[in-house]
Amino acid sequence: MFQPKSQCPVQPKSQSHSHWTLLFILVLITLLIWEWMKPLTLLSDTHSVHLFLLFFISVLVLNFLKTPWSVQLVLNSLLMLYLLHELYFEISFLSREWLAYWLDDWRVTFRLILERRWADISFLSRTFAFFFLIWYAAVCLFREAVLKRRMLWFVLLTITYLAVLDTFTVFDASGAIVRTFVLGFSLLIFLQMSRNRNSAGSQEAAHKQRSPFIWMVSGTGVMLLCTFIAVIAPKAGPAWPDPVPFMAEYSFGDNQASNSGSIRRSGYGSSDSVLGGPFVQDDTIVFRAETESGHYWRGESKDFYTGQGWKSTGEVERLFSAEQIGDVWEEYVPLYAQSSENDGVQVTVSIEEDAWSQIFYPGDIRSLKVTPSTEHLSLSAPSGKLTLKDDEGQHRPLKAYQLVGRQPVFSVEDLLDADMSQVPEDLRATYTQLPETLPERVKTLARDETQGLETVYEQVKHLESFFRMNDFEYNIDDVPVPDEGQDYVDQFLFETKRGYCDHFSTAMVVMLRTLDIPARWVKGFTAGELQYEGEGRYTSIVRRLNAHSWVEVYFPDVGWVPFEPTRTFANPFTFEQDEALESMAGVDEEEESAEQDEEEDEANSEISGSLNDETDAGHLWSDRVRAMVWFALAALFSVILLIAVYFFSKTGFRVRKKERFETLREYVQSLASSDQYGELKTLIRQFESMRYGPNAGQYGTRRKARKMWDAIMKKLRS
Amino acid sequence: MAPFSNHSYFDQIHPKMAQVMANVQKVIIGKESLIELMLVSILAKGHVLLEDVPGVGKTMLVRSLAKSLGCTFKRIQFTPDLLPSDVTGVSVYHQKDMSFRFIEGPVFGHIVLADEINRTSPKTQSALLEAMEEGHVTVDGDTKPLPEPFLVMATQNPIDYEGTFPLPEAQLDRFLLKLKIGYPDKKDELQMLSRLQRDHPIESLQSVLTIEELQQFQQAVGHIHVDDSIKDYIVSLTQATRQHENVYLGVSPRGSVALLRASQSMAFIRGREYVIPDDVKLLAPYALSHRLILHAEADYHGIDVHQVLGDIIRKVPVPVDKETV
Repeated sequence: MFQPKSQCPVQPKSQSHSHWTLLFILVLITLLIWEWMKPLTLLSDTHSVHLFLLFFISVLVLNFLKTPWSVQLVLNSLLMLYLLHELYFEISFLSREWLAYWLDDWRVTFRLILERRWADISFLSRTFAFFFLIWYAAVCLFREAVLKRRMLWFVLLTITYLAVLDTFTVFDASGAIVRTFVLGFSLLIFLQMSRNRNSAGSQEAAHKQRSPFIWMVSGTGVMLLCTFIAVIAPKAGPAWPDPVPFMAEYSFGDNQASNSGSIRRSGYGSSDSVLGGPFVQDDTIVFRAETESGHYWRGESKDFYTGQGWKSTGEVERLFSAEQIGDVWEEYVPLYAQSSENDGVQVTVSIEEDAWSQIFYPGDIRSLKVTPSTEHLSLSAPSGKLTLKDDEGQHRPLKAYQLVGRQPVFSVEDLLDADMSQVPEDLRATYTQLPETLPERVKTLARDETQGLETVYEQVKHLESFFRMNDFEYNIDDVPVPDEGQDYVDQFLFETKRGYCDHFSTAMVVMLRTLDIPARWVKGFTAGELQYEGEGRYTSIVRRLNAHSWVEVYFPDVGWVPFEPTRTFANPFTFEQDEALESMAGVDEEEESAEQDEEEDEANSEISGSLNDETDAGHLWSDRVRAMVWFALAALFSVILLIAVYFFSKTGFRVRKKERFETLREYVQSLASSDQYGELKTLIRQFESMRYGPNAGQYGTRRKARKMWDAIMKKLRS
Repeated sequence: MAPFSNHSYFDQIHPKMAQVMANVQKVIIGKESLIELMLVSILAKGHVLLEDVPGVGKTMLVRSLAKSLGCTFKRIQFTPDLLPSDVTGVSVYHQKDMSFRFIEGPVFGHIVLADEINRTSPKTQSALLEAMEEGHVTVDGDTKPLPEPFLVMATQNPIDYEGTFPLPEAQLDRFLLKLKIGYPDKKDELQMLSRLQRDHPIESLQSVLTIEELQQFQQAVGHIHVDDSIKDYIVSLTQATRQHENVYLGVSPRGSVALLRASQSMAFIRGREYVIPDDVKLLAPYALSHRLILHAEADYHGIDVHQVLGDIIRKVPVPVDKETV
């Protein structure tokens, strides 16, 4: 039968969050926002994320304390100004100069906006806009959490954001996803708890309530269980290749792909006696350079393979001054014969890393200027390791250097014609050294692979592409260190078949040596992050993760010719073919492509094509692709943002229309929060007395009632 | 308690009425809304039909209400063999005076509890119902006026239908409101136990009002302003019941009047000089539910009166802006 109690269609919102719950909720929201900001340091030019976070917290706190909006406006604006000043200006906060500068900047920004030159807008204005975005986000989140008690969409949005970043950028979100899950779930538990308490306003529901403790324990239990299962569960490998290296491999060519290659742990080290094992990418910048093309940076070579790694033998160190470099170089460590010389290349390098004393070069060095200038340069022969020393013979930190080097252009004809019997005997002895422990199957493999190829160059080219044609995998994470007594190359070739540049280059050198071809192992850096500056100049940022190793093979009358066996990397050196030979090479390539992965073949020919004579065009093209990828990312982000804004506008700031069957009181109660009640109560009573009271029919009263109605609606929307 | 505390948040209960309610609550724990509805009925000079199981405190409620209002309380326990004269009273031959003298029956009280009215024969029932409607009883050709104010609270037992005479719909129409007490909460029941541990609080209950004051208030209820749009709303509601697909017999015009009176009374208790749509909306289920008969099909589909009324309330627009009238 009819229960008087069940009659009320609307629950009163007389209670809201307790202060503690609300505080917890806000802390969780702040932590989630932090997850949003963390990737920014890595992926954009944003620094000092903590200042933005501070601003976010300040907006939340002011809302939490129910500060009047005018006070909030003033305080937040002041804080924003202060933080802007803190980020961009050195002069005193109270001086008017920076404000003037800022206003001037605004004028420029405004013009740029009108001209739609978005890319040119200054960092100052962008940061300012970013502050507003944070402000808006904070207010929206606060309203959603306090008034609507809905946060699921925000948690989902955070996870989507992290997943997108993880997929399309170098940012690794695996930790962040777990944290977001835990934080988000706790947030939902707290909101659910506070919702429960509110719906318990009617008494009959009260004893049906589970206590907050049970909520907390069961919620936390479920959360921990899920996290635990998710973490220990086996994960299927990705069905598609990771999109960024994938795209980089096929479109960016050498410069971008090199981001993913690196030497064990922290980049360029001096000890290579034990190779193998996984390593962590380190994006610390080693040096910035201005150069003319995307060449590799050679550091040194090694000649002695131990079965575990590389050593230098017979090294002789010579000290000399920078002016003498051309002669010394020519005498002791010439890389290329005069005939293979083409253009001089001029590079200017500034070192970012502390305590760095080694000089990296694009090829043979002709002249060199170093800062700090010194009489003591040390050149090790035959490895070609060039370092700066102080008076005591200790390494001296290098700040910058300028050098003119030679960029070789190799003629394929010369290489094919090279007479290997001309190789000096001592050189052959040194560079065909192999450990006695080298398993026979390595030699057999090399022999089988090169069977039927007449010239040494063809054999070398074949072995260079051998790794691309077969199932070798580029991998930096899951790479074991060889067991004791196990040969490093043997393990790579026959057991693991995965590794990074060290594996590929060492294996190639060892296989060449089994064929009695003099070869050595070279390490240095790839071209790094290249940016075309116009007029044939590039700037390049070389990081630790750009460290790389490759192969040099000695051809009489040509010199040490570099080869690049590592998968996903392309040989940046220029090889010229005569017309007569092209048909032959074409046949060669056809044969190859029959076996080879089609896409890979495409990438190779494209890159070598572009590198042959038009290096610039190749880089420009990859710049364009990179820009497109960034544009796509930006578009995706904007879409997400738009959806979020749409969602806010739907739920946050617009008041739902009154249903026709609702009375004013019911309508207001379903919308207003408890703190709005006090003022609304008087307004509603006034409206009612004018609308339904004895004087309701009179014109004046009706107009007043209309005004009162507007006042109530205005109050509701605030 | 939600709807009532909810409304009283906006309104300020008439101070005297607040006193009465507080007084009754010394005996009856919780049930604030029910007490208010009883007062609505009393001030509107209407009668109440209670449909409830025994032992939920019907008698206590009525007794404490009567005591608070300074009224006399009478109780009639209806049984199958009860005769009309057992209700109204009889003329007895007085030997000394050599004349008939009228002995007043239990119906001569301000507040009368007619317990289990469906247990007695239609003849006896109609005697009471006539008294309710007319305000006087006729015995042996003499018309005896009943005391003012006069409120009957009749109860029907919803279970145990064997050998009962359910009130016909036409009779039900004479009740202003149909209410239900219902079981108390666990908390309230516990409190009740500890309160009744020693002596019953009703013994020490004092009256808050006098009969004259009560009558004044009843007068005042009639002067509560009802805007035309509210009247329109009431009529729209009752008319909608007549057109509803599941309804066999809709609410009579007497139902409209009842709803209007009850709403006025409610507005008075809530300290207003005018009726607002909330009053009407709140009272509609109590004032109309016993005046509807549904089609047999609706019963068959498990649809009850309250669902139909809820449906109607959600369809009829509330006059808020002038335009919606």
